[in-house]
Amino acid sequence: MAIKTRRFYSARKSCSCSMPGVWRAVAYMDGAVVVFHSPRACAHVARTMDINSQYRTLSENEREQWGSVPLLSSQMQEKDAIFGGVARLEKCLRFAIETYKPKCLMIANSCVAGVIGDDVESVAREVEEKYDVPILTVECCGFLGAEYYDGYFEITQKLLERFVKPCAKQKDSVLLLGDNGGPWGHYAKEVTRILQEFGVEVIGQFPGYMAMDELEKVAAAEYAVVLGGRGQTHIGLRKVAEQLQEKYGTHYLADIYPVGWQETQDWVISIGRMLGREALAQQVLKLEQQRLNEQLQHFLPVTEGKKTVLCIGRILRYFHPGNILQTIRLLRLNLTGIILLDSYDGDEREAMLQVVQENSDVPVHTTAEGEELVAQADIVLTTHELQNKEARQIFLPMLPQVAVAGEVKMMQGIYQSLCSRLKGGVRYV
Amino acid sequence: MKKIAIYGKGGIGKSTTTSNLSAAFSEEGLKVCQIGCDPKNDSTRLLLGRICSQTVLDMVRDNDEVAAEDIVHTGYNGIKCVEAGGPEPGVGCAGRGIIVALEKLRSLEVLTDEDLIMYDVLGDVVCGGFAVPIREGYATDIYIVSSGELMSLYAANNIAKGVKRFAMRGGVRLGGIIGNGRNTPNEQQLLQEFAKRLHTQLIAFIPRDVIVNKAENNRQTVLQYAPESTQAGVYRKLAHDIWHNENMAIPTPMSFEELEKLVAEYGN
Repeated sequence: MAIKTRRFYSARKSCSCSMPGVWRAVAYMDGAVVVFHSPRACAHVARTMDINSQYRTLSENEREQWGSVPLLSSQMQEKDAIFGGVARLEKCLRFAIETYKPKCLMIANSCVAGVIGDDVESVAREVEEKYDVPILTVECCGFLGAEYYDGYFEITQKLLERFVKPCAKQKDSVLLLGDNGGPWGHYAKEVTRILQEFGVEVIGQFPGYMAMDELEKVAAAEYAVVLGGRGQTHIGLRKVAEQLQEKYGTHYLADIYPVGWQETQDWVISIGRMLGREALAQQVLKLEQQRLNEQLQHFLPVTEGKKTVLCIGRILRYFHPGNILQTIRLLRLNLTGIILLDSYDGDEREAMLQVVQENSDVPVHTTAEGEELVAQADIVLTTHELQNKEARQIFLPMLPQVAVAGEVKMMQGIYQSLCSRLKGGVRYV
Repeated sequence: MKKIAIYGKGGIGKSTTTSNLSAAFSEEGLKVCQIGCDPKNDSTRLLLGRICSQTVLDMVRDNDEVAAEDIVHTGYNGIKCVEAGGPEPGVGCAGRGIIVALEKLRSLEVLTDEDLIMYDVLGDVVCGGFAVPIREGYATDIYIVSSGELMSLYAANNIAKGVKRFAMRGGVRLGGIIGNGRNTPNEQQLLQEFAKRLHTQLIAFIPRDVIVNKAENNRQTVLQYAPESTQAGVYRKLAHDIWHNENMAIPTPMSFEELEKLVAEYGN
């Protein structure tokens, strides 16, 4: 019998809403107010996203340091869908200005506003002129021809055009670009820590985590580091970094998403190169190596020689097996087999197979062949939760944590799972 | 209760034809209600002698509670007149407006004792909202007003496509083409052939007559303005034929190329 996964994953194009993208891009920018030109219920998308974000933060034993800015909905109703919703939007904008005295308003459009063709731009210009408050609009409307990232990057672009001006550079300053859990998230904290070892200061995280009054600092930064990821996020953030370089001469680092020890080393060296401090980069690397080794000495007595199976079902765009294979080597796990799950189409499977074989000489199996291997394994590292309740599983996250701290966390998850007396179950790292 | 919807290209004479038909039906002693499904609110002008200022959607917009007497007006010969209403040009969504207006009428149960309901629907079936009179069973008998002009026939053919779509899953049928003369060459013959290709009939050909314009300028139907005129007789005969029409068909629309060829054959 073949291995079965708990969830079905489809490789079809995603369908998301652009409004929470607008919200997330400015949600913690003090002085901003966001208006959803939408039915009231659409605001719940943003609320759900915020709650999830808070859960993630709490799970890291952290707490969000900043409160989010006001989010209002124009509360479109059936009548507005028939007669047009611009009057309601205008009323909402006036309320927002009179109540919150914002430094800037951002309007995100819902699908309804897009379908009926509400002229949001005209209303925004009229209200802006009357109250002398900048109002940023976007062209995207809900999920109509747009996705989350369209909203996020369109409003980011407007912020750059409207508020960022040339100014004197601040020596040894770095701007973080992107979100990835916010400034209290693992990624930003790890980047900030390493940059401090280089003697440079993080002066802000754009967009989303700088007050409206601080936006001038965006051009003051000498350097920018993209809190990268994969796919659309990375492409969009890279474009922002390119613009900052072209307009304000800000050097940037965007090439490396430092997951795993090898990429962390490359990343530290690249930071040193960007800052012109290559020698210092070697010293930083030594310290990081030392941190990793100290932890490894603790893990190895448990992990060494343990029979391990790696199950991969994600496409290459979202999962590169090189990092986890390296972690397996560092922990001296005994990798007995790699299983490519059945969620691939032909081309995607071939692409993954090629990369797996470039990174490992361990035999690769299909799900039909893999069940016995899983049954005999001490631990299964997998991109998809398996239905097998007896298998001790580590779920490999979509967004793995970065640098040495991220690597140690992954190792710790494996270590703790192997220490546990319970054999089955899934551990989320 | 007979439920009829009149469709056709914008400006082709749907409202004029519908109002004269309503007037003719009412003269036969039938209880008639005419519902204008067009945000311009001008369907019932000839029956009311004015533009209806209290449309269903006006009432819905301004009041949470709407009563039947707020939206059902009485026109010529006791004909009940309702205008769905809708947004100003260039804003909102008129199609959604039609849906909401018809749902409101249905929920108020104001048209339960009529013999005949006439739906006068805006232009082409441009979106789902304007298909609602056909789709949701409000009307079962569809008539398309058309002249012999190519674009009028093109619109009629498109409407036939909509009728066909909904006829396949319900009781809606095409009752025929109502020819509204524009004095194009061989117009009646062309319309007859067009109807035949659509697997329906040319149920009437209304010749162009200045009396229609005069009646309209006086905010009246021809039957009210010139009851003894030949044109009034044409409308009365059409009403009679519609009432007794048993030739209800699922249309077979043409391709645009076929339509162009047909029009060219008749010298247009």
